[in-house]
Amino acid sequence: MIAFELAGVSKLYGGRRALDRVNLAVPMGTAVGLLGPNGAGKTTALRLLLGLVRPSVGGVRLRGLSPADPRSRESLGYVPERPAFPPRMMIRELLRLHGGLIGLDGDALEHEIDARLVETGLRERAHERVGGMSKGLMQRVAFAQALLGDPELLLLDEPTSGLDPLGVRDARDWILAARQRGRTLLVSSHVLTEVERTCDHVVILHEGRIAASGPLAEVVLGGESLEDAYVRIVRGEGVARPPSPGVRTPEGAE
Amino acid sequence: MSEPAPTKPRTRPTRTLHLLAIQAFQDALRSRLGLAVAGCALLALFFVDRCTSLESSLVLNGETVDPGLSARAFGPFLFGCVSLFLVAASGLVASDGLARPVADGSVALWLARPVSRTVYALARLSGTLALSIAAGGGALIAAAFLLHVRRGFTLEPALFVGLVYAASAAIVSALAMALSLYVPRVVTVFAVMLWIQLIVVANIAHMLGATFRGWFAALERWGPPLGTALFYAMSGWLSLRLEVHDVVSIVLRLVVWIGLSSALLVLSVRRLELR
Repeated sequence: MIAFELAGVSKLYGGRRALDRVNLAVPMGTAVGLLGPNGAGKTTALRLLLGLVRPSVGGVRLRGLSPADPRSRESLGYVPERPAFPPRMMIRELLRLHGGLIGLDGDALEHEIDARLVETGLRERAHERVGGMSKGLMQRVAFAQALLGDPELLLLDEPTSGLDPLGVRDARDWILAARQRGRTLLVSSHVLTEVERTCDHVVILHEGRIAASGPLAEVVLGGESLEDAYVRIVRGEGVARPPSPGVRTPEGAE
Repeated sequence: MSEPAPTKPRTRPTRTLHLLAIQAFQDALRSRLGLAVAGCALLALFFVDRCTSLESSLVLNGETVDPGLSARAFGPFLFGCVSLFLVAASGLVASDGLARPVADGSVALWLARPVSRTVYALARLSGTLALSIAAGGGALIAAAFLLHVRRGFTLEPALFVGLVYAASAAIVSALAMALSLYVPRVVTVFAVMLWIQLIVVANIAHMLGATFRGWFAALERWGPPLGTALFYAMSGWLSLRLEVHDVVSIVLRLVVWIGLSSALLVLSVRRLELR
């Protein structure tokens, strides 16, 4: 079962091409790291999957449905790069609303909120307003809302951005726990070591195109780190893209 | 392309609309503009209170006008102005109701849920409109009560004005919300004020027998009949005789404009690219 798919997708913002004929199909249960320099198209790819922007060319499917169909997002958690919430809402109130939108209510909702507050270390702050919180706390709130209902698919855009070292470790634990539960993950990040620890596949975007993709072990050549592989691929010193049984980029994608 | 994955039972759009509309209401209530609209309502009420507590002794061309006559003319004028002021205030609140979550990026998290853009747009409209109508409606009820107690005005026309106010606020709020997605808020607010004034002037001038050409005539003939509807609603105070087909025509135009303005808002939100 394919979790999400970009088929020949190009995205233009005015005259600028953010994504260029990208083909990507990710099966359920895969943890994919989405890498690339600033402006490579990572956030655009995530926003296409969420239906926040439309492709200029090509098709996008999320759990087999068009992102315009709300049912495609019924079991999805999203952590944006810069989380923004209504500033006067309390954390618990915010989570209650997000839970309601995914169909939880009553005791099940309150129980789920309690569990997420404990998991993300926010239990003592449940009745604080979101406005004025530090970036790190906002990121924790973003994780708490994304993990509500244990969604099948998690889209994480720079999930450790703004977190202190303890926060980074917590975020890594939440991501790894989701992976162990068999959830599908798409993690856009600049922190290659985190991707190396949490993902089994990587996709490297460069100038809007897929420069490399596949299982981590195949993208990284013998003995080199993911950072070495990344630098090699982005600088164009790459080797041919390895075939991948998990994340496939159909012929002609590059 | 892949086949659809099995999905959980779908969250009903009505429940989603309800949840998000309450959130939009609370959002508006907690914002500065929410306080501003409450202030507008209180100001309007203060104005009505002061005006209705004055003893009429109007002197025109050296002659004292019959106090009863001046009160009969002044009451509807006052009530109409207050109603239009509150319609404009609803546009002010609406100019922020959708533009803010789009500008601060929080809209992305709501739309990452199983929420359609249509439901989101209608929820934001309903929530902000509910606040405007609660504040404005409260002020109108109090104003009608003051006119009734102090000047002997009947309450029935005030009820019709209230309904026209609610319909006008819905139209103005939806259009202001749609416009706010394309231009800065200050431009939206000025555009809404100007547009309301143009329509009301065109409507009233037409009822007084003026004829227009070009876009002004089109605005009067096909635009939302904010002024005409208000005038008709107060016919009981103004001793006007209305034909049934005139009333039906105005009610239909209001209903059509509520539909058109809401559709324009939904279309604008559906086309929005959230980078």
